[in-house]
Amino acid sequence: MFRSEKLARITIQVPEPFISATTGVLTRFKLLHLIRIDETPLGRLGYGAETDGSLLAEFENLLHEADALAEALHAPLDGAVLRDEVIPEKEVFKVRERLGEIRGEVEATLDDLESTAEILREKKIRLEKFTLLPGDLDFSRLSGRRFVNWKIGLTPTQGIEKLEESLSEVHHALIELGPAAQERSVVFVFGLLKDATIFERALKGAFFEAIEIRPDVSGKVEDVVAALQSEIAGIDTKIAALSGQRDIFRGKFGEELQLLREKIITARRMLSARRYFGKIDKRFLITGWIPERLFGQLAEEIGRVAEGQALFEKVDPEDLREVREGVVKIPILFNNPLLISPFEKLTGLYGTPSYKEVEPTVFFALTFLLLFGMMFGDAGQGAVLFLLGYYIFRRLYKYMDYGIILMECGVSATLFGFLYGTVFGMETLLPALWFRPMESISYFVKVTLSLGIAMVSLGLILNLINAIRLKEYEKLLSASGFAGAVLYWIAAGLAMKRLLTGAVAPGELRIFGWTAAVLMIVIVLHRPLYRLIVKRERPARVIQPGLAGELMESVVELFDDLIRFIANTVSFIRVAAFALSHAALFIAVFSIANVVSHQQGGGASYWLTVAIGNVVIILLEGLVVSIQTVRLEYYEFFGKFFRGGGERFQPIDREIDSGDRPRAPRP
Amino acid sequence: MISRVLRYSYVQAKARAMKGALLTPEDWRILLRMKSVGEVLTHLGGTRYAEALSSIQAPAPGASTVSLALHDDLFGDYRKLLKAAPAKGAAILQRLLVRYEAENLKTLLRGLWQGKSVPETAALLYRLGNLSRLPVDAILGSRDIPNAIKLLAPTPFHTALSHALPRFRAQGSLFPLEVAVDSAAVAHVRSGLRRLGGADRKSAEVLIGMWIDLVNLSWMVRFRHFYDLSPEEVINYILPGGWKLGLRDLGAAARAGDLPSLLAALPSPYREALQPAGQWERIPSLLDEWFIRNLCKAFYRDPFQVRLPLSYLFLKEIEVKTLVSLLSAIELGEPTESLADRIRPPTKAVGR
Repeated sequence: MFRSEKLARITIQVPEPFISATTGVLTRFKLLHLIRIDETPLGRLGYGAETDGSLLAEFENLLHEADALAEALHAPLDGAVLRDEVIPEKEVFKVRERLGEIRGEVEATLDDLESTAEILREKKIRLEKFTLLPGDLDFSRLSGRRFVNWKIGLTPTQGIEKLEESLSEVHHALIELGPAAQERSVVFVFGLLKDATIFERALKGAFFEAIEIRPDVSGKVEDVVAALQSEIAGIDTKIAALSGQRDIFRGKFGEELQLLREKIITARRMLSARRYFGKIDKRFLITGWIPERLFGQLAEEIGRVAEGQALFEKVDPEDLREVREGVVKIPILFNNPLLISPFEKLTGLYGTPSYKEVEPTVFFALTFLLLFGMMFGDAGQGAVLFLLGYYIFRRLYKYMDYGIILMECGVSATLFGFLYGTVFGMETLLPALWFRPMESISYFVKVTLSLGIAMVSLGLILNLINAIRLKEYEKLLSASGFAGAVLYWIAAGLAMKRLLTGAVAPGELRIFGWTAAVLMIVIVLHRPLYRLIVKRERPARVIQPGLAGELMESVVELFDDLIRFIANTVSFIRVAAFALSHAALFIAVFSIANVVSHQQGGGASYWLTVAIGNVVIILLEGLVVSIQTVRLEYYEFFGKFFRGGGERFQPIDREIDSGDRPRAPRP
Repeated sequence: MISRVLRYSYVQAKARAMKGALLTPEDWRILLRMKSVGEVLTHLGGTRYAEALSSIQAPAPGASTVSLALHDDLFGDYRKLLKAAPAKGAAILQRLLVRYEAENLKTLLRGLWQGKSVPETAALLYRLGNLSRLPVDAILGSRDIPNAIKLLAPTPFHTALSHALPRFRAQGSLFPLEVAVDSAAVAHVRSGLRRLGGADRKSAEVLIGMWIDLVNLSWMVRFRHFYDLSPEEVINYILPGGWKLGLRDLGAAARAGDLPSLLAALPSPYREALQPAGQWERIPSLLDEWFIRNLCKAFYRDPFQVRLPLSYLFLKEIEVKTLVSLLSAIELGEPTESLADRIRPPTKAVGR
């Protein structure tokens, strides 16, 4: 939990006939961080494998078909869990056949549904246009004209004058029936049949959109409209029946389609993956990082599918020259319990820890919840946050991690609500199990200062562990290392004693003074001392002209770090400040509620104001407290020990799907 | 009057100085003897176009690449005058740019219609930058023309394109959409005049009215005698708001079967201006010549109004348009001497 998963680098050699089965095991296994062949010397020598392009294209087509079917049936696309082994070369026929069968069964209904929907759309457009016409316009009186040509339609209103001018040389009548949407007007144009061509040309130029009056349409417009409405009602009924049939098909084939889709994606992924493998003669080479504890299981599984013809090589990272020289980075695979793992995202926002340093997510999560709860302590509002988180967790799959974080923050806020005796800002309903912030301000400040000292100390301890793990021994004697930590702890101890008891003995101060002086000298001289004592360099080599500059640098570092220690610790007072502002906001809300209820003369307005105030506080304070907590974590805590620069473990399936991970620089 | 002097003194001085930097008759005499695009570029490298042309990366650029660079220089002038002009005057100058947005929009629609790739279409667009509010990226990413038109809802083109959409569907041709885009651009420029007041509005109305008359006449010649459209159709494409040409005049002109009938149908001063035209092809250059004369008049009348920077921008546009015509002719292998009769470069000597 405090360090990332221990990894080993493996190389698998598989004969060509077993590559599909092996890739299938790897994609099912997921926990392989693939090293692309083009990032290795072998790849640069041209030993990259290729994939079967036509088979890949076939799977692309099948995926489109499956998606189209699922979309037409309104079936969900994702969610299937594949348990069977997929061999692309074999699967392509089965999937194609099954998709064809499903399509054959549903096609007639879906086509009928689509064409009926299109008819409905057209009828609605016609209805919309006919409703623009006067209801008493009688088409039967217009039909059968032997010498007269007429048209009804829509034309841009500002173009009517030009339309008139373009028809001015022929006999015509242009009647504006009324306005329509988008700055257009409904117009009725009459003319002689012999001038029909001129009319056509003029109407074309005027962007005239005719309302089509079919020869079978007769009677008054209102009758036509009524008939259309009745037809539309009939089509609606038909669509409802067809939609019901589609829903039955969805129930019947929905899950199978999801499964087929998953098979296609897996097969496609397996084929794509081969581009990242190496190939020498008839054998494929797969290289990557894998959790060491899983090596046996993976080797057994691949050995089984490759009928014992696969060869494995497992190397400990420490044995790799490229790793020792820092040319190759070992990826980080977080290894946290379910309730802590959502915080990995927040850790990742600061940086990715390197393989050897402490994986800080667990510390981050626990201290985050502690700080959030202290600042947002309210049993009622905490419960609201919990419920909100639960809703996100259950309904919004994509944001599940944030839902968990919100639920945990809610629990923490609720616990502190009980400790402070606050529920929705009311302090009379619950007894305070610890203290009420507004009544014990100075005590609260002392608590938060103590918390600050504890967190800074934890950061210093983690920094010492990182320095030892990364063999940065020289730093142990520096201001940010052991020497600085001891200085901080002695000073912090004395400060705490002064805060709690109000006095520090002169002897203690004297001892502190001497110890601080010795430690400061050690810090300033830590570089030459390290070279003399640990590296055993000759004094003549250590005492060189550059030494003065080195010492000056150490002095500056010392003062910089001492100021940081103080600033980092004092910064935690904000925890008390925001908790108090949380309580102060409630005082404001209750005051407003009192004024409002006095003016309105009723209790309902009082409670409405309190409810609105609570919503505002949850949103506003929730945001502010989250930002402050993250700030304290990143700057006061992570800043003490976090080195970063690591590379995140990328499971093989995501690596293949992304396809565009930036290449590692060539050594 | 005093407030006009205060508001326009800077921009009129700037426009005058910029007019002084237009190509000289000597420049044009040399340019009209050039035999290759490279030679034209070399000569223009010694003029104020040097900076804009230096951005061309291609070793042997074609006329279209050079055209974009020349327009960059024009847009640079727009930027300078927009900064210098008072708010209301700047608004009308800004509206003139909608014609280049219209050109870009037509290019985008053509790209969608012809299924061109995004980079291919993007390379043809005028580089208006922050002078344009056209949602270019969204249109480039849209699936088809009706969807692209939906994206134009906040622009002046949306309504006109929506009107033309049924005709586009019926004809299966981009022509109705292109006409709609051009008409919308002109209508947008004209509607901007309403914001001006007093002398500013009067003089700008005359200038914009002249320009609309010229657009109508050149469209009429193009549609009737080069595209062979019917008079009834052409009349419907007429843009309202001209200076001297009303709907009746233009209707009569559109119905004219030959050049003398056209001239007879036109009112003064267009009848006199086009009198020397012996053939349809000469009409655009004669119209340009007449317009240039009128634009130059702005420089020796009351200078403290928007007409002066407007006139300069029209002159500069004609210069750029003429250079692009010259480059296209050279690229097509036409003898440049024959162009002398067909193009009318606006030189700083004209109107002095």
